[in-house]
Amino acid sequence: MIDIRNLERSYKTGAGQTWVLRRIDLKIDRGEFVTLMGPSGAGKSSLLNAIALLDDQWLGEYYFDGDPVHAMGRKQRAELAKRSMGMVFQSYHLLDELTVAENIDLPLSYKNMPRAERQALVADTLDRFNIVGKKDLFPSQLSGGQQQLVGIARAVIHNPTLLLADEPTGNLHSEQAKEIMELFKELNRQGTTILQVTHSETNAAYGNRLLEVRDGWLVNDSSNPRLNAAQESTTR
Amino acid sequence: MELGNDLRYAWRQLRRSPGFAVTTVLTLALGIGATTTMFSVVDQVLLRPLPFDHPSQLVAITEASYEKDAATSGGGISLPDAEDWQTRSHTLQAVAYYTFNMPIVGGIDHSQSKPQLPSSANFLSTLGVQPALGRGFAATENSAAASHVAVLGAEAWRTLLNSDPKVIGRTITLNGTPHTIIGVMPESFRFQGGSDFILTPLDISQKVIQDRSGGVLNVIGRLRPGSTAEDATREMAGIKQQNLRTYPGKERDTRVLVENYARSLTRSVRPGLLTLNGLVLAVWLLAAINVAGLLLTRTQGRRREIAVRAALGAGSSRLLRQFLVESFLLSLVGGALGLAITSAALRVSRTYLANTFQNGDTIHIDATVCVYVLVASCVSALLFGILPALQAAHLPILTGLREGAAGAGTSRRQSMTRDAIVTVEVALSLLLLVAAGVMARTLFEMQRRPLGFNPEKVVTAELMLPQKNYWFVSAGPSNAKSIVTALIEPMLMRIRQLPGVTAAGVTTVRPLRTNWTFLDEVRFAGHPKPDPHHAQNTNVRAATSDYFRAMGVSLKEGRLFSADDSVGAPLAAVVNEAFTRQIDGARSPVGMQIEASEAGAHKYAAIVGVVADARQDMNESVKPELLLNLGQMSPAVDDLYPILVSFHLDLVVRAQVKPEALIPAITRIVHDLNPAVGVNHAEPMQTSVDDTMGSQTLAARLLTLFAVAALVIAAAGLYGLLAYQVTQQIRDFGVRIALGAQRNDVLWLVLRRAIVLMSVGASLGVAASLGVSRIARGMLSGVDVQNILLVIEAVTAILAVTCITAGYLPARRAAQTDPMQALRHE
Repeated sequence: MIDIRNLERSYKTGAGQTWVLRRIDLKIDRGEFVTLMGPSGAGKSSLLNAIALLDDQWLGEYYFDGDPVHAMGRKQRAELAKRSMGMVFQSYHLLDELTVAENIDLPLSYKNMPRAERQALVADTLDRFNIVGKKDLFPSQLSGGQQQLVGIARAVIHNPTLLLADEPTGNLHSEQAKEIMELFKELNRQGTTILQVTHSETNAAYGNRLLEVRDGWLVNDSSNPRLNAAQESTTR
Repeated sequence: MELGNDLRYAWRQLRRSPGFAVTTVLTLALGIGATTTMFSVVDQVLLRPLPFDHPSQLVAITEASYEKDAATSGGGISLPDAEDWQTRSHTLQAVAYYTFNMPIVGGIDHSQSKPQLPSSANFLSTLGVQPALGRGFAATENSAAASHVAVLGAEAWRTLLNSDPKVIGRTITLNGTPHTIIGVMPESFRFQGGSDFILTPLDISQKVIQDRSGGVLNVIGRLRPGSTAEDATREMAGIKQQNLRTYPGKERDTRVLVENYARSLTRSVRPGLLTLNGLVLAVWLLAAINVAGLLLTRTQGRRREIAVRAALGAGSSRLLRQFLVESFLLSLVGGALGLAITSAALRVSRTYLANTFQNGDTIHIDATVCVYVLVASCVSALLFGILPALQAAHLPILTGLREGAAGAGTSRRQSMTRDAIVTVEVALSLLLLVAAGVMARTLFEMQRRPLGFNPEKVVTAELMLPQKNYWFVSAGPSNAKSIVTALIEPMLMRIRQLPGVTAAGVTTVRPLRTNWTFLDEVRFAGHPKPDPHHAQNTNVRAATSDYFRAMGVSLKEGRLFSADDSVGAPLAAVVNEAFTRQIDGARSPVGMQIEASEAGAHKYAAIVGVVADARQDMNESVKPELLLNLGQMSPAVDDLYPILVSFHLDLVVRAQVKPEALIPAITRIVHDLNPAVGVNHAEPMQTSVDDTMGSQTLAARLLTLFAVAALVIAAAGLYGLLAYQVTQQIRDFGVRIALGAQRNDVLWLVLRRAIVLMSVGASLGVAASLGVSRIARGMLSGVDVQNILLVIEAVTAILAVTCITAGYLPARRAAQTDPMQALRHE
């Protein structure tokens, strides 16, 4: 599904350039539940943003379902993201002035979908996430866990093949975090590929593959022992 | 459908930030309201075609001396000239003429004076209008007894005959002469700003009106299709040259000017109106710029929302649309409120508009004005909305998604954009303040200028005299009873006996009366007749001996009229100081003989004294004036008697009591002597002075209102910018204070920015003001460069104080930052 070759990302700073991602090679297959870990500032979120196409300043090759993303224009990339990806944020990023139902409807409203079809999908999603009773509430009237539930519902309403989550339980207490991770597990079981960034070993345990990033380098991949060996030798 | 969603979200956004919504909507309402009010006036005064058939073909034809343009020419057209143009012109398909009279209308319940327009038979057909009832004039009705027919304007029909539908065939009298009503004009027909007039055919059979060297007619022409006013001007010049050769000594050597008729009606108000319109557009622009600044600041606060929308699939165009929908919503609400402001403004200034512009009383909100509001709102929305919308559409997603994006810093470019906005606001408001200041100063100067008379405890009244004929055809020797002995002398004698009256006099035209004037060429005895290119003109008036004391006009040199100036004595005259300046400032005119009649005992009048310059018009410098001794004049001897005395006089009474208390007694005395004499506008002279100043005062107040609004908008803009920046930098201030900065250092840091922006804006404003004043100086009387500089200095000081105050509030907040709290926030 995802094939990244030699991906690099840097920022211009006063003195020169600061590299946040170095020569990343990564393949993710359909149906995987991948966890991306690493210390703060290691480049986890940068890699996630590059894969989510929120950032387009990277170098290298990126194929999505065989299509060369690196060769696409900004509009094509936006279309691809709109069609195939869903994004869950640590701080939910619900829009305060929209109700739960309207927040969930938001990605559909940008897809030129007929209104009736959208309403049906929103109703289904509310039902699926057990939040029908909260559909007319505003985010400020919900708990953190409920907000993140809405955030996930919003991310999956258009049935993306890839769900990207940046510290999805970072602002939640453990009980709420557990519910969210169970939901991710269920979505994955239903066929959604998931890539999550987390500091939590417990959350990582829900996934079936672990990646580790350090100083911009991909240093560990539980499904690629060769990478681990190479890193060990480099370290020695 | 998505537009509906956008509208709903926009409405919700505004409801969630009522402070922002109210500020923005009020600012826009002010800007749109001001410009819509001006549009209503400009559209209905300058732009709207006259309600006549093919109005662009109509032209006004005037004559002017070679040094003057038509705007300052005083004379009318002679009938032979008008007839020549009618018969010989190829560029004009019709030439119509009319003049003006103010007869007493009888044969109705209560006699009253009413404007009469004696006109050519083809007057209505030239304009392309038809009576609503009855018929217009036949070609044969321009002569002798056949001319005793009348067509009523709609308002005259209402006021004289209570809109009687069976009015056709009824007889009314005009100065005692019976006239049969043959028609009533439709409500829509307004001429010279109203419909309160009686149209009658001008009797052209009388000999006196055939005089080629005189002229009392106003002439309107209709161009043939394909001809222009310039073509007609050239043709008229040719006809004039032929007439000068054919009628040497009789045809007047003047320039003939042909001008679009609608334009000729608005010539005097056009420059002022367009200037005011320009200033109002500046207020509108200022409002739009200020709202753009507010929206830009708000967009920064909404970066997270924008980034989330973008991350969820909203493209640039979609974001652009959403933000523009918000702008349009704001603008439409502002526009609706602006329309209410326009309605109120038009209501409040109705009297001013009626007095200032022809048809000014009919200016109202109509479909065109509503369309204008809609267009103005949409243009406003684009003006102020596009920049913030573009900024929103192109915000980087990742920056927006970062934690606390709303509080994160802004780019240098965005910061510079907002600085530029505030600078322009300051510059524009300074420009407006200068304009208002100059106007206020002009008014102040005008009020400070001596009136040349003392209006306190003086009552005046307009006496409309009954006549047997038009004043211009009753010239020449006459056996008619002199109005002086028949009315003026007994009237003044009885008025002087009223308790409290200290002086009573009569003049033909009192000060500040701008609607009557008689201009004549100055010819001194023993001097050759000056050529037309170098002739000097003077306002000619007549007054009784006690008039000067009654009006409080002081003597500067020589003497006033006295008992020695008997009917048999040489005619005495008094001139004003402007007259002295015109002839030769160094020489005293006292003792000079000036021509007053063609021949006879009063061929020359002797100038016996010089009086102070009593203002004829508040807006203009005092013109030369020659006042003949009315007590000595009679219809048999004085050529000027019928012109000056036969139909209109101003009575002036000075008293020790409240002047208005005398009005009933004065009216009674006049009507005892002659019930047919109309007593109009009896009021204290001070009221006339105040009324004359009224329109100027309102204009100055309006402009001041706009300028103060501009100042508030600019101050709010500066305050908003600095308050936003303080919020953005609160952590920095906390760090500075934690590291040992004094609170004054922080205060100065913020205030310095306000001062820099204000200084740059003010410099631009001063430069623009100087540029604009150079253009506008020609239009303003009484204001010189020194005055403008003085106003600029004062206005800059006001602006500086306001801006520094606006900057001080956020600066104080910055200085009061609690470092612990600011760092905890981080």
